[in-house]
Amino acid sequence: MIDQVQVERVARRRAWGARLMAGALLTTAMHDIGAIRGYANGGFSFAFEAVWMIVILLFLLFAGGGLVRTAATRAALYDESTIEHGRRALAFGFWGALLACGVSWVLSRKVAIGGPEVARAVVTYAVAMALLYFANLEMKALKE
Amino acid sequence: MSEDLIVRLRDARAERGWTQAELADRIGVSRKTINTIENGVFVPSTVLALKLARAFETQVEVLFGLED
Repeated sequence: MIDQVQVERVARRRAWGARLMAGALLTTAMHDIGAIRGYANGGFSFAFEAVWMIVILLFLLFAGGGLVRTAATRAALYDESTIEHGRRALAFGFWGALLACGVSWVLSRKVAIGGPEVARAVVTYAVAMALLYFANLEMKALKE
Repeated sequence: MSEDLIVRLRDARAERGWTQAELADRIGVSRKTINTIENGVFVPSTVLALKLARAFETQVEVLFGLED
C-alpha cells in the first residue's frame, strides 16, 4: 500500500530542496568568482566543505526516499515520471554547461580567470540549472 | 510528448469513479505520474501502459491511441 499523501509531501519538499540547493550553489559560485573572494583565496576550509558534503548527502538520502520506511512508497517516490524528469533535467544541465563554457571562454579572453574557477563555475551552473529544471517539472506535475 | 498520441486515461478513470491517487495506488506509482500521463506531458513506458490496461481490465489501445 502506497501512502500517496506522504509521497506528495516528500516530492514537494524534494522539489523545494532542489531549488534551495540550486540557490545555494549559485550563491557559492558567485561568492567564488565575484567581489567577495575571501574564501576562494583563503585556501581549504574544512568546516565549509564538511558542511557542504553533509548537506549534499542528506539531500540525496532524502531525495532518493531513503528516509521513507515503506518500500512501495519509496518506489513511488522514484517512479517513471520522476526518472523522466531527472533525465530531462540532466539534458537541460548539459546545455547549461555548454552555455557556461561559452561564457567562460569569452570572459577568459578579457579577464584573468583561473582554470579551477572556470571549471567550478561551469559545473556549479550546470548542476544548479538541472536542479531548478527538475524542481519545476516536479512542481508542475504535482499540481492537480 | 508525441503529437500523435491520444490519451483516454482520464475518461476511463472517470467511468470507474477512481481518483488519480486510487489509480496510482493500483499500479504502484505516484499520483503525479498519473497526472502527467493524463495531461499528455509524459508518455509512459510499455510496462506502465500494460499495468494501466490491466488495472482497467482492457487493452492498451483503448487507453492510448494514435491519431489517423
